[in-house]
Amino acid sequence: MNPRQLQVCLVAAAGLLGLGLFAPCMTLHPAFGEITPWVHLINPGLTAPTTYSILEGIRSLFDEGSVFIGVVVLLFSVVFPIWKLGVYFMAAACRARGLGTGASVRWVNQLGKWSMLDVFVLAVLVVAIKGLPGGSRVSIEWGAAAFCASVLLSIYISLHIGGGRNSVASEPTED
Amino acid sequence: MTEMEPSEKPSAPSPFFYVVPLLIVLGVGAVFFMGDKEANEPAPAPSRKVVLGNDYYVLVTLMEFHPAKRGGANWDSGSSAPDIFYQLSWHGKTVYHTENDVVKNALIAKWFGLGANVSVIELRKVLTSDGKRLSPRNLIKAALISVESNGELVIRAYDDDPLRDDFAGGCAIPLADLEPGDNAYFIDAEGKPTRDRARLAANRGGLKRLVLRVVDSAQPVEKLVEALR
Repeated sequence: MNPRQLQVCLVAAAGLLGLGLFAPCMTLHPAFGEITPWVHLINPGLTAPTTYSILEGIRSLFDEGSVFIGVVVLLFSVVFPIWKLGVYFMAAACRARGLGTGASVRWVNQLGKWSMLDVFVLAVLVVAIKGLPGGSRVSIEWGAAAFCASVLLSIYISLHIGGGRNSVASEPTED
Repeated sequence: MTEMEPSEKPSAPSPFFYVVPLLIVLGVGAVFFMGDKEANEPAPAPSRKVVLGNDYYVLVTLMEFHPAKRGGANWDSGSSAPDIFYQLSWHGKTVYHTENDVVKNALIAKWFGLGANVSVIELRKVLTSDGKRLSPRNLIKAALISVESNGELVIRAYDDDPLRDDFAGGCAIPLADLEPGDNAYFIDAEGKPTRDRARLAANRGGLKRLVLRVVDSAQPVEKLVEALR
């Protein structure tokens, strides 16, 4: 993959990440079993579907006092993916100038194992909420697909930017 | 003989590249919020009139009587307020009434478009699987009418009395003039309904004002429930 293709992929991955963070990720449709119509009569707000983006979900965690979980999800779903793409952008620029990609790419690739944590958290949330009684269900929105696509694209980029022994990334560099 | 110039090492790229993805993410977020803001702006109001040929649920949600009958007589013996109920007629037939849902001793009566006559003992049955047949659609307490160009809805208000119900007033409303939602009418000095509060007859006696709710029956049950409750 030449540096130009790499940059296009990086811009796409960053755009998808932005969509994944801001776009609707999941919608919760509350239900109360057989008495759902009655609950709807008494208080329609209780049965109204609620849509969350990843950022709204994180904010909810903070609002509800789950600070630790909120920080973990924020780090591995927002901060780390953006930082990782930043390092890749820098590495792509270095490659375009014939320079080595530096140790930071190797660091990111090492830490990249942790980046799947965000997908894991999402999956756990979905399974947890899908398991609620009363017929409540969760529908996945397109923001989740954009987020997953960004994660997969960044993995693909990592394979081309510094995965191989003979890649530019593994060459000795000044930094 | 020329000297070989030492090859220049390319300069390192600007640290700006580190923040490019952050800027892209923030840019996408900004576009997203702008789109969201536009989507949340009030849409141009749809046509406020009912659609000819469509079917609508109609009911009176509020009715107010003057403190005295037409002519100045008291409603009931002593100083009791009237016991209010109404009838809706369409094509000369009574299509809905609240004779079984009289609002006693009141000058202002309110009705809801949903409800069930269920005793506490029966409530358990309703909430269990036996009650499944009692769907929200079965709970609608309103008349179903079709809007025709020359059709009209006649509303008659009464004071419920044991011997003979007192007619408090009434009005005929052209169906094509109705709007989805709440339609407030005031009875003017000639006994005709008007939407202009300023023309309300202050001391006429009998029926003073009413609110007629019109709900499109083609909506999903959830929206019907929302509109009628």
